[in-house]
Amino acid sequence: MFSYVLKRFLVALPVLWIIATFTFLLVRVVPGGPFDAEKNLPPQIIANIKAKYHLDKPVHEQYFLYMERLAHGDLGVSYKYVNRTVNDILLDAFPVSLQLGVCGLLLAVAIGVPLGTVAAVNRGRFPDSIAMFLTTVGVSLPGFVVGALLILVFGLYLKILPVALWESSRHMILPSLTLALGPAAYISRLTRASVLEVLEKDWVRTARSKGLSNSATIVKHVLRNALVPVATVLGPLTAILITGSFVVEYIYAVPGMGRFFITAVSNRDYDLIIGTTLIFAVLLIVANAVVDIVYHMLDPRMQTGG
Amino acid sequence: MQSAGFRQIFARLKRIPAAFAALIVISLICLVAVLAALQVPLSPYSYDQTSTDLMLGPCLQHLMGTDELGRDLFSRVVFGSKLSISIGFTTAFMALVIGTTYGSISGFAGGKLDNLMMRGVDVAYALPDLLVMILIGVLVGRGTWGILIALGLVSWMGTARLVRAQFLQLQHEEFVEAARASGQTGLKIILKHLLPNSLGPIIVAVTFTVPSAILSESTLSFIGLGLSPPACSWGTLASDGWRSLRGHPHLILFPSLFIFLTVLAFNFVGDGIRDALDPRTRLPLLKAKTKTDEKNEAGTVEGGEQDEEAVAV
Repeated sequence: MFSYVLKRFLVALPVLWIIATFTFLLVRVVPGGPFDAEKNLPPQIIANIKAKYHLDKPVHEQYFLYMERLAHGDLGVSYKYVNRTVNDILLDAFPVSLQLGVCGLLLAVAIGVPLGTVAAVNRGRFPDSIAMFLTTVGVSLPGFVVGALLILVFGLYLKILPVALWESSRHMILPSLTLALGPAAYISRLTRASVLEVLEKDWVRTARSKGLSNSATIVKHVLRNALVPVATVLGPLTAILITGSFVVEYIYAVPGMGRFFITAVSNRDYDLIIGTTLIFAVLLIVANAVVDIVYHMLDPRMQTGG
Repeated sequence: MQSAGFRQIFARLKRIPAAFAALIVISLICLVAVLAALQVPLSPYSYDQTSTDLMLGPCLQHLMGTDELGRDLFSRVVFGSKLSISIGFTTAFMALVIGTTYGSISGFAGGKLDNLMMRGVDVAYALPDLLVMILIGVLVGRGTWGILIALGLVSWMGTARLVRAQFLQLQHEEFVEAARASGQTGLKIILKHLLPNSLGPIIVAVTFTVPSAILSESTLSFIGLGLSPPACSWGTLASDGWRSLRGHPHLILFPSLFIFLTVLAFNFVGDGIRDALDPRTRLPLLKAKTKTDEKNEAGTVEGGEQDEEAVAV
């Protein structure tokens, strides 16, 4: 097991290096730099600023400088948030995004699993139709529309929840709900398919025939088995949550990584763009590795195959 | 033969009420988009500068109200449909071309090349779409073409996977082996035998690409990294409306409603085509309705479920 984890870690390093190189080139190949907006400054001052950040050097020298710092765990400096290093910014922003993501994920599971189960158990009947209609609505609603509606209803008309920033647990309710809706639809479709499959198994019939009540059968015998495939989609779910977080953090002014990424891109804040992209990549790699490792442990057949 | 196939799909689709209703909605919206290219009731750009009708709520003269410059929102939404809808279809077309080509090569070649190509798809699939699109946007710019390139590059993977899976399944069918035995070239086998028999799943995948492209474009434009004025899509309209959410929510709600309805309709049609193509789906009969048929129909309205009897056949 340990060697497997080690192997995953060793594979991840070159992947991160490729992503860092790719993003580095991407932001530098494009015309326009971080200081283009300051048109009023005399050229000499601009040149001085560029020299300070080594932006006057040829691209390959910048690249080696960046990689050397990156190897020491230094993600560089922000050109727009003066006095703050990218490490500083991300150290503040990452926990916020993580909180948001975990809340969103938990909510999505709390909505998606029951909905999918109810749909599967009542397959072809009215509750199933309603549940499937709801999931289609869920995937058809853009995050910003959900956000706008929630803000209008809970923030502006009912005035019971704060609609911006990230300060108390009350601030987390609307963003988490907005973030959860898409993944909830995804999870409920998956749960439905998975439960339908398990319902046909012999052990379910056995459980029923020994007199176990319907709900006990579902909880003890069906869900326990049906949730394994659902747990394995943590990788794609992380991707969905990251995509969602961009919009959610933008509309609720949550100071998380998604928002910093968006502003960094519009400001051409080079190091911040690369830094956030790398953290997102690490998140995805970790999520996918966790799934593989858990799968590895759950399924004895995988262990001999390596 | 192919047109008969389409006709058959359509005939079956007509018997799934939700999908058929959605198809009508889509036709209407597309019609509006086409008409928008020709004429709009009140121009979306020019406005009466002496008019004091700024930020009006919905009223008889301006069905969806006006924006901060006094422009008629209804005209702007109608006009925006042109861009939103054409971005959806263009992306679907690109996904079709790239995905089918990639999937065909991978599925037909098999072996190591297939393995390598599918690993690539796995990696591309695992990335968050929006992140990739924003990064591509940095490179290619944020005009309509930039958005289209970004959308095209993140949308083809589903189609590629489907085509490849279909090819792998068909490779061992007798008619393919016969074609191979009679000395037909690989390209000919792909074009004449494999692709025509994969049409169904391809159509389904492409149908689902349209709504996701419309969603992605509007989301990108909303967060300010997609299209920007003077380009006018539902996404840029929603983005404009967002700023006056507090006082004038109609400015974001109407464009959003159109995004939602269009995407919902496409998703229903996609589900419908998938069910229509699945021979296990029991469809309600058109003629000679009996009591039991009506009951079946109720069951197939939303999901078009396969059922035990049909599976057993």
